Amino acid sequence: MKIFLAITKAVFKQSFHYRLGQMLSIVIYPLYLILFIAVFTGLYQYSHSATLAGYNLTQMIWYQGGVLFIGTITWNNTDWQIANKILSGDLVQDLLKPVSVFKYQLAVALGHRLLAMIGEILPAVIVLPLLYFPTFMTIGCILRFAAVAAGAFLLFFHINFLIGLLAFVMKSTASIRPIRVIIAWTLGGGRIPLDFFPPAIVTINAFLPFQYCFYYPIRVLLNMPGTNTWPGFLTILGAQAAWIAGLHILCRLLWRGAYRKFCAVG
Amino acid sequence: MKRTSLLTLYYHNIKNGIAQSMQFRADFAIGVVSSLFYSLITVVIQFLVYRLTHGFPGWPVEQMIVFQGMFVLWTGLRETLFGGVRELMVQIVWKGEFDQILLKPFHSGGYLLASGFDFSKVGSIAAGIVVIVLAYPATGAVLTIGGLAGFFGFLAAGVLLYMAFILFFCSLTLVIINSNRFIELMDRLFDFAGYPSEIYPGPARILFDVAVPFALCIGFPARALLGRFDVLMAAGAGAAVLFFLAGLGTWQIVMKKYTSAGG
Repeated sequence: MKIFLAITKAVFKQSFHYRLGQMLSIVIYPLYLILFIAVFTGLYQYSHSATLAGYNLTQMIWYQGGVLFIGTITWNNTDWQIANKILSGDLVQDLLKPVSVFKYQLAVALGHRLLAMIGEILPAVIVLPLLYFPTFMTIGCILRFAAVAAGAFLLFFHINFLIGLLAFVMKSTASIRPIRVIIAWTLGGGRIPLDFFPPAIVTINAFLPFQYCFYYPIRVLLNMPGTNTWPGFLTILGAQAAWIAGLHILCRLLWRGAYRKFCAVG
Repeated sequence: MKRTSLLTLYYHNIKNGIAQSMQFRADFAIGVVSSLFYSLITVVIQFLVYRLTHGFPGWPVEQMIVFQGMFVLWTGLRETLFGGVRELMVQIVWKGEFDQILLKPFHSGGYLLASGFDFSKVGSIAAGIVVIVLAYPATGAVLTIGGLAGFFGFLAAGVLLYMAFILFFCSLTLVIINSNRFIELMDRLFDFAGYPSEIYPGPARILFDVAVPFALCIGFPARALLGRFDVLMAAGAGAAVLFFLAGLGTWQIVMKKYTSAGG
């Protein structure tokens, strides 16, 4: 645990060195928000409707804000790092470290996110309530959101780690990464709420982990029905935990099989 | 000795890019599939939104699908032509290798612009064209020579605008070194092109149509195809030329101050 925290701290300090880049969020996130607000205000006004797919305008804009929060919290480039190291042969250095590659990458991902959570989410958290005050939100749902957001981070990390392992077979996984992003964001509800999707897609989605990355955590943040009771919340948290456990076992199995084939010749 | 032009260099880079893609065939094939997939998803999502709403003012669903096809085509075009430039710039400046570019017998900014070809994104171009061709008849618009000329003209102006922003980005990278987040900032700015400018309130619409004419990338070419011209579109194209000149000017200023230091 000491080593894990030391790696996280080192990566955090490294990120802090380039804080100007992080501070750019003060510009980037309001841009996101302006775009969402323009798009959804236009859609609601032109449709002459108070709700769309069960969301009023404020909830919809906060849904998009929630996508920003989750996107920031869960982002990591573990897959890219592993693939690059396999391709260059640098993975050898990681294999010599006193922690497993999995734990090392997890610590790195966490270190990167610590500053991001302060520097990137904070501007949106300040600006968004000033524009659209979330009357539906409670302290309880914010705390519940913190728990499921942590679950979403771990879920995404495991998915990325698995994709990184593909580089043992494919060498270059540059093309897989966009597919992962498209699938996870679209089927996860990271582009529009899943309530817009036809029932068939929603049924297929029920057998995939992606909706626990965006859709359900954001619904928890919005204090939506089905998430604002203990049974509803625990069901979401339990499903996240089950997916994380399943993917973790898969990561271990595949890692064991894959790294034996690794030959550090670049 | 005959001097190689930037276009010849770009042609060689295209050949190298294709050859490189063939080295990692599985990755390339998946890349093409992923760009096609992305294109389809984008159109489907817009369709899903239209299914439950009245859509955007002035854009009936048939025309919006043409707009989406244009969005896919634009994304493919910019990523194929210049997809690798920004990452390349970040990498070489970070590693302190930028001086090597100054040794090449080309305009350094032009050399960078000519180095970003990414063959794997070509699938989006094809998908965009297919979506536009299939959706166009349902719009009821009649394609004219003027409309087609406007389409290519505005698209070229959009590419020029994008090149200007890449030059701004490269200039900034030389100054601040770690400019990764500026890639995101640039992408977010160009996100404004992804929706019809009719959704923006008055002053913002003028901003995106004329002052910083992101509408040149998608909205204007789509409207030209649909025969929906207006005078603001020409003003936007003129602004793109000015932006490109400003991009070149900025690059020249930064190059004069460049003192050769890595990350």
